[in-house]
Amino acid sequence: MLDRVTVIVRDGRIVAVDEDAEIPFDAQIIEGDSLWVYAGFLDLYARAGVDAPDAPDYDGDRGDPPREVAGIVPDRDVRTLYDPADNAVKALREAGFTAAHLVPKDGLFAGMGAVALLRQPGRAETTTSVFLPQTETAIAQIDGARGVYPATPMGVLSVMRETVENARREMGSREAFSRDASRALRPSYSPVMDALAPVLAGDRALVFHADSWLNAHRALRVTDEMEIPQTVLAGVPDVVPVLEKLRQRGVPFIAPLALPDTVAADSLAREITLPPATQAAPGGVSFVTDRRTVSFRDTDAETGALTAQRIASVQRAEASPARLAQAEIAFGFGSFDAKGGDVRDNLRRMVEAGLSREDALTALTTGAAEIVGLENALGTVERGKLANLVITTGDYFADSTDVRFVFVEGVRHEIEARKKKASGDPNAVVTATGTWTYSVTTPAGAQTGTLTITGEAGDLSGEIETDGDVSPLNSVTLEGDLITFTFTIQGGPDVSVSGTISGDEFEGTADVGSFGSFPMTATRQPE
Amino acid sequence: MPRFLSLSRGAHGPRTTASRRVRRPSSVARGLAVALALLLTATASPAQTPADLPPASARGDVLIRNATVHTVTNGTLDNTDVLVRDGKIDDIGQGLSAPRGVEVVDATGMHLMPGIIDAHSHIALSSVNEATNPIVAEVQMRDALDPSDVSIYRALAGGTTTAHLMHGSANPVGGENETIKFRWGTLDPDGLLFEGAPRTIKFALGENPTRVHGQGRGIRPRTRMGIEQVYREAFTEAQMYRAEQEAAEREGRPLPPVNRRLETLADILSGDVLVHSHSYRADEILMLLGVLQDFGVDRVTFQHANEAYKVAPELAAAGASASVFSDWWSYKFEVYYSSAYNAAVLARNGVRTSINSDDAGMIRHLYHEAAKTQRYGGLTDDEALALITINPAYQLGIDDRVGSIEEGKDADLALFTAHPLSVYATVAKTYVDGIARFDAERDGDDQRLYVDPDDEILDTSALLVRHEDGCMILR
Repeated sequence: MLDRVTVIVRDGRIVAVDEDAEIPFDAQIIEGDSLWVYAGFLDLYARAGVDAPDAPDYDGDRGDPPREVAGIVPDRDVRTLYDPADNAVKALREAGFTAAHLVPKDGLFAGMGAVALLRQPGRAETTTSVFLPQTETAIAQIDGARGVYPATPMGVLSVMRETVENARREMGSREAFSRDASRALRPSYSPVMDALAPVLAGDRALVFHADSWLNAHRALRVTDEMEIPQTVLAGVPDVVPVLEKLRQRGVPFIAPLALPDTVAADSLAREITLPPATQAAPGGVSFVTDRRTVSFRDTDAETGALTAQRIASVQRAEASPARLAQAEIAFGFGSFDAKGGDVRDNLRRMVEAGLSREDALTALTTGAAEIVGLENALGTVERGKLANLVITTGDYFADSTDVRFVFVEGVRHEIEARKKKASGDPNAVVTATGTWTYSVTTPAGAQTGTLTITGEAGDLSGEIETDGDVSPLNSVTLEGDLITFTFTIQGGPDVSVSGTISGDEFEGTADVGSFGSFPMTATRQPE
Repeated sequence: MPRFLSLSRGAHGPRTTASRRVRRPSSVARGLAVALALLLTATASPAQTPADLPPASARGDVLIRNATVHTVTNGTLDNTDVLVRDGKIDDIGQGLSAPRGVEVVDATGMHLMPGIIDAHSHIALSSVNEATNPIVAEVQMRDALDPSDVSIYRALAGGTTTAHLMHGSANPVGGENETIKFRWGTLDPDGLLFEGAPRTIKFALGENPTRVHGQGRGIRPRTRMGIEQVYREAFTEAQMYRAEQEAAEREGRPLPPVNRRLETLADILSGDVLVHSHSYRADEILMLLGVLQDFGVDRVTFQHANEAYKVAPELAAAGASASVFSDWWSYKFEVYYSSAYNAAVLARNGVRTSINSDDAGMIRHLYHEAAKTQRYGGLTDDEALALITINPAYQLGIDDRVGSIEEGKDADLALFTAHPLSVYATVAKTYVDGIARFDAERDGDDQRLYVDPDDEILDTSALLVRHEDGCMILR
């Protein structure tokens, strides 16, 4: 870390990083007093702005679909699917990401990924100009086709092995033909083989996306069997069960920036001592209640214990990057389907769970650049590198810090200050009790119901009706005119509501975890 | 239903159908209950946690002293000791002394039998049917293993140590099965593999494949006749495929494209893969016997085989095996002509016979199922125990390793509190490779190996009994 330093950027490159650099006469100057400058972050697995075209219509034999329907599309190129103007790209940039390994979405061999700079193309450029050359990867995943062969993980893995084996045989055939045409069949045109050949030759990494530790085990085995020279594993939320295999094989890892929702703990669950997440054994179920016969009678105690188990599992996911760093496994981060707006909060949770700031920054910058072979161009604030910079008001991992500017290849993006959450007026005097009719606006339309709040200030409770199901409200608190509470939809997610009351009107948001946050209004009904 | 809720239900899938959360206001009494429970935890013998369990590669040493030992192949030995070294049965006798450092278990009054083997199960799998094609010989259960399925632990609690994980019965050829050992505690699917067990494959006859493909999609097989032709054509194609590959190899030409489906079928024909066929009716059993004889395949086990008693002499003459239920039938038309004497009739006619579960519940009490053959058919203890030990081991090609208590065999053992064919028997300890992977004294409440942060919380009262692991469920 350097103090009081001037960074000079020209034509998209860093030309000087110095305490008393001479500022060119034509430079635009950003006063950096008390601002922090980071190297731009690199997202190693992004689908932001990547179109996921529908599979072609097909109503033929389910057992023998064309390869595009089966998901065997290693020749599909992400550069033809990317829209740099997409809002999701903007959200990533606002979190500090200046480049991303973009990947196509569906299919078992889903296509070719490539690294792009997260800026708009300039006037004289095309969309593909924002991509860096020679950054292609091949994307594999255990993604079954819908209703046609291969529909199951075992079908997918079988097709993968056969596809790779046949690409090898086709390569052999071509070689044989070029050696002695009289002894071999004419080579045939094979876009699948052409896309896989660089992977099999070791010139291109196979990035295997696994959405669970179980699929990660399968992915590591199948890539071993297929003798893939360069494998990168991506996406497992809790990496501990495969940590040892990754370490032994030297397989780099792309950790997801999404995290499971935190679990609201009632007092029962809180009483149970959880193991430190950074030491939990693989599997990590490291406490056992020993209540045997009472469990089916005392369901509250059992629910408490199960909640504690779930909290422990969320903590394990939060500590997953810390475990990677401890095990000295090369890793970076990928946004996958995480929303750009959640990224900083999640990184903060990971740091709180034991990941050092240095390791987090390495994973976002130099570590990530090494995994995609771009350490010469990205990852540090250094003369000669691309001018990808994140300028913040302080420590990136502190809640109070704002990202002020993001430079992508010298192109300046000014970031609007974050909207503060409803804070309410702590001195206002309102009541919350009564029966309310509420309305939540979701992308799928408005939904309405009734909400009842009872009790007295300091001891409020209530219930909410959603589609005829009634759920109790938890932790109802009223401070000034700000009311907050949570509830769990039957068979569904946890919802957290917060907003302000003015007279008989309520206005706020309903936060449904990974489904998003939706505007909510309510009106108190006359008694 | 509110729309954003329907979105979430879709995402959670069918699991939510079982959800019923019980809510009660918090109370002092509840807090007290937990405090008491925590106190009890501290004083009782330490419960086993999955994290304590040795890795799958571990092999145990133990001396089990003074048990009634049901060897299955060499009769019953009273007051006998069994010494286990490095996961193998090292010595069987009286007055054996424990080598230094070897744990001694006093089994006075208890009964030791070989670990139970289930020749037909669908637990510990994340998918069962690749039902998109009538023949998917290339798909492998090995790719679908789920070592975190708590059904494994429950099966261990019933003395079961090995299961044959099979594909479902949607397809005439469903794919390669996997024989596993219940090395509960590992999260690596490969940790469960029964090393050296022969490859086996699932076939299915009758109503299921004709319903899925014929009635469901209007393609062959629509009838039992169609099923026979599906096999004959597939085997013929596999013969041609193999000949073509071998010719290329012989002449040093580049190999033509691989076809893993035909490759596997050709391996059946060359005897490298054992056939296990879902079947019910006597006529279809004879049909498949004929097809296999025509193509030179001589090792076959008929699974379910509810009408096998009608053709027991034919099965015995062909050297074919049967793996049956004790008394489960009438769940569809082709399973009405059944008898509880099926296993006994087959056994007494010289057919290698086993009793299987096909079910995550029944796998916990296969010893009850075996005992039923004493009521229906009067089998001896050894004959009844063979149905769930050495006979399924033979059918899976692992009888040189497990299925009886003999020196040199794997120390996969079940220690019962009473005679295992008695309804009063419960399992005290279950050993796999000499490691106690179930121990009733150390049985905790929550034995899940892995907790998914997004899993819903279902307390015991919310759990409905569902037979979701049956072979008929299409996933």
